[in-house]
Amino acid sequence: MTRPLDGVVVVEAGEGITAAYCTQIMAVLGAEVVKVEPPGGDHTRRLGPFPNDLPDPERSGLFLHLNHNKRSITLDLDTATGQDLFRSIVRGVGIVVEDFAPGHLDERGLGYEALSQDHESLVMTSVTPFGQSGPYRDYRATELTLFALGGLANLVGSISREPLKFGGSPALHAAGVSAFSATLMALYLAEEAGVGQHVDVSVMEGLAASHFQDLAEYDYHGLVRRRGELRTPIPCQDGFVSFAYQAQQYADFRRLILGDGAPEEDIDAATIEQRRREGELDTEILVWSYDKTKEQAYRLAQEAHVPAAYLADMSDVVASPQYAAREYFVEIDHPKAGALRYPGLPAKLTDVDWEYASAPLLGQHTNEILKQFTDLTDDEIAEVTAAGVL
Amino acid sequence: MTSLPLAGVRVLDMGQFWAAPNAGRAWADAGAEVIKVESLHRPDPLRIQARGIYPDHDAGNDHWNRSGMVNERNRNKLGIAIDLQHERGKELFLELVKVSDAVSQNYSAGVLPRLGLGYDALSAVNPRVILLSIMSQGLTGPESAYVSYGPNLEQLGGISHLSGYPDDPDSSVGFALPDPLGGAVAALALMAALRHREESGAGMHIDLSQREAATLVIGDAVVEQSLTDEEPPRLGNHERGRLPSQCYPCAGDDQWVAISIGSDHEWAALCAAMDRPEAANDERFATIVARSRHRDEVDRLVGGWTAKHDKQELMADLQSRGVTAGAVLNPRELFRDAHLRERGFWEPVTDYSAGPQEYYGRPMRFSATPYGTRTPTPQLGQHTRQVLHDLADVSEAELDALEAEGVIGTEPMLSAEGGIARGGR
Repeated sequence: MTRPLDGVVVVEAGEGITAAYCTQIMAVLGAEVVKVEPPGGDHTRRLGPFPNDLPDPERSGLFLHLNHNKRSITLDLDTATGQDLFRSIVRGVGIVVEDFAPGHLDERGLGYEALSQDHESLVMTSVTPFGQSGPYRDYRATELTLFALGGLANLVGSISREPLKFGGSPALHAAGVSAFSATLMALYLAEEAGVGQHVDVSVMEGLAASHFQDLAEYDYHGLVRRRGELRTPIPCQDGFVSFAYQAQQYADFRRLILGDGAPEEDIDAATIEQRRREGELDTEILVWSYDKTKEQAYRLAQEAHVPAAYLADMSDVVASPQYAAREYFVEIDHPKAGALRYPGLPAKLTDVDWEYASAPLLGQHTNEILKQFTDLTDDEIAEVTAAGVL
Repeated sequence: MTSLPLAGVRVLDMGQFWAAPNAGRAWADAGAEVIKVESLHRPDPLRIQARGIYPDHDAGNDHWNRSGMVNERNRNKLGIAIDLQHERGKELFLELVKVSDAVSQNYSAGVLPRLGLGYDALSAVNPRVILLSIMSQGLTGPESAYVSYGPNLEQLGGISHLSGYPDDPDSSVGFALPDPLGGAVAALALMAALRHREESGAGMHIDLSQREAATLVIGDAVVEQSLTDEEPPRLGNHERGRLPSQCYPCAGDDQWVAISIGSDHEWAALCAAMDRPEAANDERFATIVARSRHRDEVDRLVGGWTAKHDKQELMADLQSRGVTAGAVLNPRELFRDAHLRERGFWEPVTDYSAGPQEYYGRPMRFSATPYGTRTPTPQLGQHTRQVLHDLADVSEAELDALEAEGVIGTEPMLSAEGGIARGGR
């Protein structure tokens, strides 16, 4: 069966995780993605991690993760020729996804206003930390400072210590996911009605829209929620397990820990929460857990209908039987980095099979992309290359 | 005027709790006709388990319509309540499926097939329909029947192990990131399936795993482990290639500013802001390598300075000097934040029962088709009669009879268990 985005062609340019991740998912779903890199290579090629900590633009873990299934062209967007070639490529394509700082492309005559002049149905998605307007528009940001401003750091960690971000860059990845949905919504309209548009995606707003209860609590009755005390997960032989039972699973939980003789009780959620805080059954839980591995404890609890999890490190994650059964991880061979494991799509689609291709070498497809989207001859390409534009 | 991007798309949203209703909200905001499907026996559990989040703590006479967590994530939808265990209820649901583009659900694996409403049954009445199953661990595999909430999936997916205080490895921090992520990925998946159907004419069943979505957003750590054969470390607030990067205390109780320094030039700008220009050239601090060898001294220097200042003033001052900084905002400050205000992020709405409120908007803005709140979150079963009449051609007389029998209605009929469904949030 065809893939969902077969026939969609996207130009991606920028300097971070957000646009690259958005178009990464598009590429796996079947879109043809043209990644525009500066002649020195994408910023993430320099970030690593690298094998043995030896920097190599073709072996950066972050770059490989974000860019498989794409083609790469190098183009110096600071030169008039590079800008002309970028415009030519965009003319042949319906969609641009970019994550430069606001104004960066406008200053080079490559903003939405300029590009849409002769391309009414162009969809251009710009992903930035704070969006294209507002007082923070030009603020510098990282995953950490966005977690702070998006209101999640306030909730993560211990109240007696500094607030925390999560490990990795989940906020920037999530912004890429939002950018995907927004771009496809705009594309849906563009294909139906011929109306293109500029889509403005903000990472901070993505985080501010990801709260469970504290925003409603403040709005409804003025509570300002903060971090609580750290909970120590339950030690097992080789790591930790934790429970997350609700009121309706409390009886199952007591039976799991105390055995079948546990008395039945009619009890409400508030009392359960209070007992949990007071450390009810803490000793009995340790007696139960100490001779089990974390995965044994997890399975025993789950089979007794008690929501539970083990704290999986990356070795556990990649060894998960559940992931193996769903063939979640894929292996992709790369000419310089070798065969590596990558996460696949987090969903199975009826009758759709995926194809995975390695991340491109720097500028690997420059010539074929120029021939596809511009009318440059081989001689002219050689000339532009000599001028350092490619 | 141009219609909204998803005008003309109809979705039956059986989503409950957090992730799935959030996805439904994304489509509804963008103009799709999203019908929230509940039953009187089993309304969205957050209507009942409201955690006390009622306007001014007042549960009123219809508490199920006054739950803040339901009202903030179900706007722009229609709402119906229909008993799917009842034969006629089931028939009417299938009538709605015939005229819908998609059905979205996050019941536990097996619930829909047991009701006779699995993908085959839906596809039999409408081959173009897209069924989106937003599962905690997917519909297949040995752990598919396990009950897992957001915090469980954060741990199983590897996010928790990478997160937390590096100097306190036995502690664990949690949020429930797989829920908002699952919602965002679900929104994405439906868009992909709609595009696919435009080309192929065929619907599909999407079997989405929130646990897999959790691992996806730390995919760089998966590749890192494969590339280096080493376990990616827990770094706390430290960001690779940047030093310092940390939350530092500010004046006041539990006030913090996050600062992340990406170059020696940026460090010099921070030193100038601290009025300690000599620290820029101090051999302990001048380069990132030097700062990494003297992290405690760096933290004492920076934290000693920030502790005397207001976090918002610090952020503004540092940003004006090109230093990456962000204040740690609490809910009150988020609602008052000048940036979010100017961008119209908070959207006011007058709820049917909960009165005037403000809810969070979306991370995306569309230049040609701006959109926002059109209608508040429906009350339980508010549009049942209208929807069944308009889309399934049910007569007024039959609607009356169904209401008398309790198949449809507007007040919950809870079991002793509290009407709470088992299943991922």
